[in-house]
Parts: sequence; structure tokens; C-alpha cells
Amino acid sequence: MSFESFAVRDGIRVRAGLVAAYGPQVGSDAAAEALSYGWEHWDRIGEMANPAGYLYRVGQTAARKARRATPIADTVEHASIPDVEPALIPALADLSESQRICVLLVVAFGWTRVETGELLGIDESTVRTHLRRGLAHLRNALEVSTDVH
Amino acid sequence: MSTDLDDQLAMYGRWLERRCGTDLHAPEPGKIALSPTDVASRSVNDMEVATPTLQPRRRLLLAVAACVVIGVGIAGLAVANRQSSAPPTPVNDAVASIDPPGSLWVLPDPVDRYQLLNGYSFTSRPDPESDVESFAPNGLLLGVVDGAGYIGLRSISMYDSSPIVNGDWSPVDTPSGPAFVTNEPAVLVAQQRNDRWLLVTTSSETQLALDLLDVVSIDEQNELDVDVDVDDLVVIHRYVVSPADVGYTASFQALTVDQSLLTVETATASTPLFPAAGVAERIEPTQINGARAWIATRADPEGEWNALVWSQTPNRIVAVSGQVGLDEVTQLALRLRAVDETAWKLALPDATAD
Repeated sequence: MSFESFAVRDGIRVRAGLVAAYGPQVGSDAAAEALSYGWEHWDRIGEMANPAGYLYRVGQTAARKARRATPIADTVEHASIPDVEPALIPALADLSESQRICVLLVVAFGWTRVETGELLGIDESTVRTHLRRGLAHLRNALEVSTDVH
Repeated sequence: MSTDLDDQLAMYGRWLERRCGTDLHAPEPGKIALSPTDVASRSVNDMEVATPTLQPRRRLLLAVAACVVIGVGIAGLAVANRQSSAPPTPVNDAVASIDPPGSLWVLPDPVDRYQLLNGYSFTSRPDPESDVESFAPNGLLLGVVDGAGYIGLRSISMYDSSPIVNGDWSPVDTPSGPAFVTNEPAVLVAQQRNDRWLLVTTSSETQLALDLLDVVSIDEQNELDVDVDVDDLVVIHRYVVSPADVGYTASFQALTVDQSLLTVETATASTPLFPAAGVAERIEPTQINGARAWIATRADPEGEWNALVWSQTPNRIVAVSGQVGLDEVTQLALRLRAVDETAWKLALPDATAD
């Protein structure tokens, strides 16, 4: 597979995962760095069984450096987002990183559980667990919010 | 506004795409051939993520220090409430010879000079199922000489059982065999060698950790042996962990009048240099009030990060850090006083504990 073919589909998945994990700013920058690294080293990375997972980890390393300066609570931006229930944003920030990635990749971006697990290096069953727990937390948070207001 | 959770998440996803200026959605089926999935069965990755995501940065030192006690045997010391009425003593006037019975609690003096935030403490107790006798309590901190200090910091510890206790670990092939990598709380690489496990820690570059696995071995005396002729590596420190260790940690943040944010942490560790490998790019020895200390630094995108770290007792370290100048770090370090747990909790009434 050429890098171009990889980037068309799996590059988006790498970017989606990093944005879900680290927010739009740090995640996008990390994805750019990871895909740039992938393009430069495609001879080696293209032979790997899971190049998307490898480049996701490259992106994690880049994001980690940048994130040192950014509180994790900012991963999910507390901006006012039209049509989005305000309680959703802090509830997403409360999730574990894995739960948040699984929820956003599967539900918000439409990736399959297998594709999400491949990216994160975890089993589909683990993705399912993160997803179930993450969604339960979000539902609970939104219901609580509704009750309060 | 839709109240359906899926709709809400979809709208948030579209907002993220607009913020990023790029598509993050999976392509529609049929437009692009699906790549074959290759999800091997990896039981090691099935573990639940237990690492809290809030405020990970201030917990870096603590989390890495807690790695010391992974795999250690029976629970030992009990946390004792220290309610002594003795006057506070500077934590850094001299190194005490006895560990406190629990956490080392510290506060700045005067306490109202800073706004104190985010108090947190936790105790990590060893697995009672672990075989104490077979625990191999030793490790090395390595680096490359850089002037008066060291760069390229890496620590390696040996355990009798898998150190993969939580977090997301990914398998990786190395010349010395299969290993597992995670990036939280630092870059950690774990590898099994016969009936032992090696755990390499470094601050950022996974390759630094992987390179170390290539040159480390376990000798006939069951101790770590490193080929230090490779890459100009030197052994900075050899540390030993007591099998009875329980990890005690406590931390808070201190906000100055000009809004500089510093973090103060105390943790169980036999050397302040052990956690340094997980957070710092460079260390340099110094002194603070006569006690041997280390300056740890790294270059962050938004400015230099500085830390001062020292051993207050044989097995308790103190770290003061922040994205501030070394002068501000030093000022706070010099003001720290040992207090009892009650005083600490009074100063940090919203503190949480695990």
C-alpha cells in the first residue's frame, strides 16, 4: 500500500484519534507530525502490520510534549458550541482518555469498534467496554444536568 | 436542541471537524476499500484504564515514583496521622534520617503567600499476592554527560512480575524481543526476560527507551548489567527499593500573586533521580540549604519547565516544579515546611485522596 492510499483512510483515523484524545489544537498538530513522520519512513512503516497504530503512538509522543503545557481539562474545549448541550463538554472531559477516544471515534466520527481498537492497540471487546462505560457516564451526566436545570 | 446523546456527540464531532478544518469521519463504505484489520489477541491490553485523566501533569512525578513499588510484596507501613504539635521545621534545612510514618506533608511558610489549589494524596499499596522473596529490588538511572549535568535520561528497573498494571500498552518488536509501550504517565517500555520483567522509563523519546533494552542484560548475580560503552551512556545512580515499601504521595499547586503556577509534590522514592527520568530532559546537581538537590529541566512548547527535587528522608522525596523560572521554583522550595496531616488538610480543605 502506498502512503497516499494509507493517508486517504487511515490518516484520517489517526488524526481523529489524536483530536479525540488531545483536543483539536494539540491533536491536529500531533497528527501532522505523525503523518509527516510516516511519509518520511514509509518504507519501514508500510511493512508493519498496523501502521495506523504505530503512527498513532508517534502522534501520542508528539502530543505528550505539547500537552505538558496544556491542562487535560482543555482537551475538551469549554467553548460555547451551538446546538450542543453545555453539560456534554465537561462530561466528556471527565471521561478517561480511552473512554473519550472510543466514544468520539465510534459515535461522533463513525469508525467501527475494530478500527478504533486497531488504532489504540486494544481488542474490540475492550473498545466495547470503554464505549459502554463512557456513554453511561455521559447519559448520567446529561440527566443530572437536566434535573438540575 | 436535540437531547439524544448520539445526536449531541455527532454535533460535537462536526464542531471538532470545523475547528480542525479537516474531515475526521470514517469514509462511507464503498467509497474506499477497507484495509484489512490485524487486531491480534493481546490480553495485556485488556486491562481497564485506571490512570486519572484530570491534572496528569502535576501527578507526573508521583505516578512515576509510584512505579517504584509496582510488584513489591506485602503491605507494610500503615498510614499514621501525624498530629504532632511540634513547631514546623524547614523541610530542606537538612536531610532527616528517618522516614515519616506516612506521607510527607509540606506547606509554604507563610502559607498565605500563595493560593493553594488541587491538594491530592494517595497511597499505593503492594499486591499482597506478590512473592516478596523473589522481588529483585534494583534499578539504574542512566544518561549522557552534558557539562555539569546529564541529558538523555533513562531509568531501568527489574521486577519479578509484570509491571503492566494499568494504562494502554501497545506491543512493539525490538531486537531483544517483544516489548510493550505506553506513553502515560511517561514513556514506559516493559519487556519480559525469562522470569523477570524490565521496565524502562524516559521523558519523551520512545526510541531512547527501546535503545536501552538492546544493551541491558541480567547478570549471574541477578543484577542489571548495561553495556555503557554504547551511546556514551553512563550510570548516574543505582537505586534499591525496599520490599516493604508502600508508596505515599501528596501534592498541591501554589499560585503566586502574579499568577505563576507551581506544583509541590512529595513521594516515596529512594532517590529523587528515579522519577527524573520520566519527566526531565536534563538534570544538574545543586544544593538547597545544604541538602543535595537536583535541578531538572525540559523545554516545553510554551516555555521552560524547571524543577528542584531532593531527598528529605532516605525514602521521601520533595519536588517543586512549574513552567516558571528557576528563581521562583527555588523561592517556594526554600519556604516549604514539614507540617502534620491536619494542618495540610486545613490549608487544602478541598484536597482529594485515593
